[in-house]
This record gives sequence, C-alpha cells and structure tokens, in this order.
Amino acid sequence: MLNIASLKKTKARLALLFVAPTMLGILAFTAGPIAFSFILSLFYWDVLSPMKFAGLSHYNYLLQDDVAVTTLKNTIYFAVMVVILQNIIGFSLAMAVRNVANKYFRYFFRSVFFLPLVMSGATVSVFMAYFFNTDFGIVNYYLELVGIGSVRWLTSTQMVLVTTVLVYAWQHIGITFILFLGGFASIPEEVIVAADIDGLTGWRKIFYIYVPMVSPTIFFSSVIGFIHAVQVFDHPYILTRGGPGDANRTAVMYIYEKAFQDLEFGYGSTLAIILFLIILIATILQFYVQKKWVFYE
Amino acid sequence: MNRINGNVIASYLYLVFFALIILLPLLWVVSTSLRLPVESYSLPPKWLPTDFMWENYWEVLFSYYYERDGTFVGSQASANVPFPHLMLNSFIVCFFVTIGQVFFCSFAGYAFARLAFPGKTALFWFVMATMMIPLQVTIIPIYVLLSKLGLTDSLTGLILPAIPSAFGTFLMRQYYLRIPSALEEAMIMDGASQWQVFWRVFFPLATPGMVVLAILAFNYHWNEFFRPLILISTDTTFTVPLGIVALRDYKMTGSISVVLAGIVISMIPALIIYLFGQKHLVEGILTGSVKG
Repeated sequence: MLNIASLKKTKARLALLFVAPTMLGILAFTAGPIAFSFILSLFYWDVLSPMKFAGLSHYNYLLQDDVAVTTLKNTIYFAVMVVILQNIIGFSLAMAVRNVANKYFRYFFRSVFFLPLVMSGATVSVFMAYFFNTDFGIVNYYLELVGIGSVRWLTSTQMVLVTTVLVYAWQHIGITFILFLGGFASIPEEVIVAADIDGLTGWRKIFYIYVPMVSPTIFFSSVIGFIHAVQVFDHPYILTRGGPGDANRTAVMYIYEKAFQDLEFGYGSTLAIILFLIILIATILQFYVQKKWVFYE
Repeated sequence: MNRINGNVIASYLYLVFFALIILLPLLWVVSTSLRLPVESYSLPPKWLPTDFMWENYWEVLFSYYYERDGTFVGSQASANVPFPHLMLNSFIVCFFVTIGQVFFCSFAGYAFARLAFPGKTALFWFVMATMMIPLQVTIIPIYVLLSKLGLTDSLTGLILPAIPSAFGTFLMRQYYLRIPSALEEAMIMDGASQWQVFWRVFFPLATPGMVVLAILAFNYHWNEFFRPLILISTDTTFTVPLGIVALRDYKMTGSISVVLAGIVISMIPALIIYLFGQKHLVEGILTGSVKG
C-alpha cells in the first residue's frame, strides 16, 4: 500500500517538473500577453510616457475610425474569398486525383500541390509581386496576348485584394487538397456503388453524392481556412504595403502600424482584441459543430 | 467506357494545368535568377534558363562585404544585405527553437499522456485553449516584455518566446498515448524509476512525433516574417525573410535577378525538408490544422 502511495507521489512530482517549464512559458508568452492585451486596450500608452486610463474610449473610437472598419471589412472579405476559392480548387483537385490510377503520378501531383506550403509567405509575395507587375509582369503579358488586356493587379483598389487572395491561395492550396483527399477516402465504397447503380453521373453525382458526403470536410476546411486567413499579414504587407489607399490593408497590418509605427499601444491592443474575438467565435463554432457531426471520419 | 476515359483525360488535363500554375512561377524564379539583371523583366518571358550568371549569386552573398575586384570593404550601409549573416541567424534561431520545443514538449506531452497529477485536466484544457490564440494578437505585450528584458533586436528574443509550444505539447501527447502501457508496467516490476521509464522507453519511442515537431518548427521559423519584422532592427541580426524583403526594397525594379538569387538560396533548406520529410510535414500540418 505504502509503495503504491509513494509511487503516485513520485509520479506527480515528476509530472509537475515536466509540465512546469512549458506551462510557465505559455503563461509568460501567450496567456499573460492576452490578458495584458485586454488591460492595455483600456489605456492610453505610447511606451515613453506613463499609462493613462482610457476606459472604453478606444472601443468607441474604433467604431468611428474609418480605417479600422475598412481593414476589418478587407480582412473578412479576404478570408471569405480565400475559403471559397480554396474549397472549390481543393475539392476539384482531390476529385481529379481520384481518377489517376497510376500511383507515381498521384504522388507527383500531391507533391506539387504541397510544395508552396514549405515556402515563406514573404519570399512568395516578393516574386509574385514581380509576376503581377502591371507593365512588366508575366501575367499581363499573357492576358494581352489572348486579348483580355492588361489588368492593374497591384495598383487598382478594386483588384489588389483579389490579387492577394490569388497569391495566398496559390501558397496554401495543399492544405485543402489534402483535407479533401482524406474526406473522399472516408466515403464508404457502397455509397458510390449505389450511386452508380442508380445511374448518377457527372455533375449530379458530384452534387448529390460527393458534396454531401464530404460536407464535414467542407465545414472543417472552411473554418480552419477562415481562422488562418484573418491573421494574414505577410502577403498584403509585402505585395503593396496595404495600398493603394487602404484597399489591401488587413487587420493585422493595422495593428502593426498603430502599435509599432504610431506607438499607440492601447489602440493597437484594442484592434488585436477585436481580431481575437473574431477568431474565438470561429473556434467555438467549429468546436460545437464538429461535436454534433456524427459521421465525421 | 468512353465516358470514363473522358473523365480520366479531363482529370489529367485539370491536374496538369494546376501543376503548371504551381511549377512555372518557380521555374521562372530559378531561370531569372541566372539572367543578366537588365534582362530579368524581358518579355515574352523565358521560362527556361538561357544564361548562367552565377555572379548574381556572388552579389547577393558577398557584395555587402566585398567589392567586385575582391577588396574587403567591411560591413557598411550598402544597397545590399549581409546574406551569410542572415543565413547564420536563421539557422541559430531554427536550431535552438527546434531543440527546445522537442525537449520541453516531450516532457510536458509525456506528463499529460502518462502521468497522474493534481490539476491535470484543467491544465490540459488551458494548453488547448492557448493553442487558438494567434501570435498577432499577443505581439504587443510580447514586445513590451522583451524590451523590458532588453531582448529586442536579439536572436535570444526571437528564440525564447518560441520554445514553449502548446501545439507541440498537444502533438507529443498524442504520440505518447499510442505507446502501449505494458512496457511501463514491466519496467516498474523490474524496479526501474519513473525517470528511467520515461528516459529509456517512452522518450525514444516517441521519436516519430519529435521528427514531425522538429520539421514543423524548423520550417515555420525559417519562413517566419512577422515576429522578426517587429523584434529585429539591425541588419546583421536580420533573419532570411527579412533580408529578402529588405533586398527587394533596395533594388526596387532594378536588378531583380539578384533578389531572385537570394530567394533561391533561401528556399534550399525548406526544399531539403520537403524532399526528405514530406510525409511528416503532411502529418504535422493535418494535426496542426486542428490548431487555430
């Protein structure tokens, strides 16, 4: 009896020793900072002079700050476009790969779609900016060749966010692709056979069988994609520094500019808290819906 | 039968089309990095390498330090970045973050998977909850904390906050859960201590999880841009992505082939990881996509 009790005790002591460094680290660099962000959002602070209580005035100001509203709109718009585009391309690529019988070809395509994921968003954006250059860019060269004419990818307020979506989606398509590959693999063979016996083909088979069967994947990849996309910074920052005007300015970019260029740490934290709440809502949504989805994988 | 063949052909065409969309830009990057800077924007675009201007690589690597004729000019504010410094800095950051994460996450993950201790469930939910907090939201307090500690503009300031990883702890826990507990019981019977059980059995058996974690951590921090942009200000302390963007800004639309040479060099470590660790990367990203 005594033996077991002491064993339990040494186990607990070892466990505390094992979790302590990581727990303290998370406390110092994640949990503490998020709490401190909340506090900062209630203060005026430019680092140099002492903090001054602001109450909710930052939150009030945010509603009147056109740039803040624009950046939030841009961010949501960006994330929704990314999610739609990635779902369509990821779904269709995974679907197409199923028709490839040769194992090596399948591996080849998988590897190619996965390749941009290991690159840096920063360097990808640098060379993509050359690609989408209005006057010298390759994209416009071919568009003019086929008669569409040149598009001001990075210099027009209407186009620039779309261009950022394209660059971002180019880099991240591998994730959605892999997710759908897994989704399709989990469809029971009988369902497909039954659909074939019923004579379902082409688009009807896609919309009546495949789309509903992988709906958990669609939901999952949408929420995950959304959560990642609202945190975007590298791509719009490097492509155009947020311009022209504020057309390519996203929430994180505005946080960065307010805090680290204008030294408005209080207001910067307020913006960060709003972004955090958006992500929190998406995460909670994912958590609950996923629990309810019975036939998930 | 005809219809099936039609589907297969359409599928191949579709896949090849997208494969080209991924591969052609990369091919252009490599080809153009070897071209005369004045020809880098030449249209119609030349996809394949035509020239082999290895001087572009010399320039991106060494022109911060040396004149073309080989005389040493010393570190100075030139229209260039100290590329070897950047590579070394990135390697140092990635190395220590990776080692640190692998060790500390192995410890914590093991405790959560295998040991009983008071407050375990609550602490585990705490870890899971912090996993969804993105860096972008906490960067202001992190910056304040690091500047109080005098760690901004230093590699230590990049390394230290990156080591405690909620995601890594979760990932390692998953691996420790898979190891059968019969091993543990047998060792305890033989009189081994708790530490020996961990160090001789569980730690080595969790190697696959460590490989996944190491690959993800290395790749993530090799590519990381946002945190270094905020924390680092001296060019000799830059990491590679910061340097590439600085170089791009120096060169404007001038010698983009030199910038592209820098990009090609910067991609080499990521490509090595990709070639040898693709399976682990896929696995890690799938686990990681659970995280926000």
